[in-house]
Amino acid sequence: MVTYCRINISILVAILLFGCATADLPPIDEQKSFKPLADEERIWKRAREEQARLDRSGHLYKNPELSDYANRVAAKLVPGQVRSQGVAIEIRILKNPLLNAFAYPNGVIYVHTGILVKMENEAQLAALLGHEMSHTIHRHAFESYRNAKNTSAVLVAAQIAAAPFGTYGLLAYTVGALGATAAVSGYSQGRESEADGTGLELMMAAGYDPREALRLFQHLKTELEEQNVEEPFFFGTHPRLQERIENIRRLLDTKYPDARGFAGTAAFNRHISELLLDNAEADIAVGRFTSARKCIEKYIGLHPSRPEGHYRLGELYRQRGEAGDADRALSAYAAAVRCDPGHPAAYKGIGLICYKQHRRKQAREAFATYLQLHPGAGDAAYIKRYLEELDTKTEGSR
Amino acid sequence: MKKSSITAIICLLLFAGCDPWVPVEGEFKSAGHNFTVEFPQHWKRYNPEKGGVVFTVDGLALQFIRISRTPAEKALPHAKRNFGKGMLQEEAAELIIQDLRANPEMMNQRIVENTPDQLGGHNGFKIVYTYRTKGGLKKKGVIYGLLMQPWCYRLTYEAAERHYFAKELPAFARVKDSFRLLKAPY
Repeated sequence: MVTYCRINISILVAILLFGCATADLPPIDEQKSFKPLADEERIWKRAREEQARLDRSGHLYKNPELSDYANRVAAKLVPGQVRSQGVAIEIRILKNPLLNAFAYPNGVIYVHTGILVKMENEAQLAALLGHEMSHTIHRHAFESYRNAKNTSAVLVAAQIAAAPFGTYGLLAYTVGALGATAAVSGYSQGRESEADGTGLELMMAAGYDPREALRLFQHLKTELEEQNVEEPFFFGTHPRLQERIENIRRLLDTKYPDARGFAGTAAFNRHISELLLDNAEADIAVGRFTSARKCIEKYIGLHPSRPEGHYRLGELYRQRGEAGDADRALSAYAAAVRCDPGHPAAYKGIGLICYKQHRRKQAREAFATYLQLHPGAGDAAYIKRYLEELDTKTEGSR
Repeated sequence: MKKSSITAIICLLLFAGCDPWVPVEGEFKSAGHNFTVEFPQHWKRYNPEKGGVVFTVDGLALQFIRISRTPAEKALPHAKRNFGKGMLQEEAAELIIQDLRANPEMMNQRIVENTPDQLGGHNGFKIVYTYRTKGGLKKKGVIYGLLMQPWCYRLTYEAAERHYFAKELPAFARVKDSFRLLKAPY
């Protein structure tokens, strides 16, 4: 899959770069009174249509607190001149475990849950939002789109690259032509470099530590290397991440060698913790157990005494089903019960593992406790069936 | 007679013998997939389907019944995992649900029901789900499944939620009740 994606992503980049030899337009924040040009207005209208389709697709992650938090971080970054021009920057979160974020020309920025869970602090979130916001401020989408030779080819290539990722890859073409450009291929090297530079400036103006931008992109690159997979989106590709790393390192070394600032780890972790489990679930659904395990272990690290993390880890091992996973699952479920002796789902997990291991007495006890703690459970019929089967079988518990 | 007219007539004659739809009524036996079912009137079988047998009354876009038998060791296309050895019926249902959730063709998907049930006299499971197609059509589906190593049997009924789902649901219930395995798996 690595080779498959690499080839397609290279094709995508080649297609995109082909049509990018246009004169730069003045950025939004450098104009006395910004008004989109006539053809730019049409692009904005198209952006709103694509956003409406995306918002209806069922891919939006519904967590108002996290959305508010991301929008507050974005608000700290938005230059006053952009706000006064009437361009509203708005952050929306997509439930998608793949690494990405992308900005529409009208200021709406979509961030995947998959990239949020890989971040370590608020400054890293600011780095990503600052980069994406810069594309809006510099009108990169409009510049590129106006000169694109074949946008339908971009979409087709996006679909091919995204195909192995099921519903999460589908997003590559749900976003439409404008979104595909921003989300899948990114812009020309020059425009991405410009976004790196402006993004760092915005971070620093808001008081964030610009070194976190470098840490973020290095961390994403390491993640991809560990998983040995290229994803179909911009921030999931080695060459584009390497460009970010080299560019930001150069800027930090030459322009901001002594820059320091705020990281915001505690606030970030507080807002992100529930997302870690939700994103792990999305990862498990497409068989990405390593990525899911990292999310769950991060959650357990943040909340060791909460049962939910241990329970989810047990679920991961039960579903993965590799050698030794049954014992790992049992141990994780037991940890959940130690955190909360009234956690029903952990008992069900114990029951399932014991049932499969023919430890009938333990299975019966665990299932009975589950039903006692959660009599109205949606899966009560399955549990009753297990109990009936256990009752009809000869007692042979170990 | 013009050349093009002759070509058209030849094509018509050729394609007349290639109807992929074959009427079925009464017992339908598939030795290849190891099952037998009873079909009511008006149902037609679609010939070229691989990995199972597909039937409809009004067309596949409006409603279909698919009966399939897949090797348990074969990974599901979207969840990218297979039915492991020792997997319970409930776990098989859980995996099929994950596969549905990861299916790019299904938007706004919702699992309405996941309960134990019987298929062919064996303990299996039942999943009810809804989703929207990319074109915006709302669909509803029911899967009766049975994991019996080394195979997973699935009997799926899916139709446009409005009008068509309810219209052929009783027929599907009859088909499901008549489902039997021809030979017990080893």
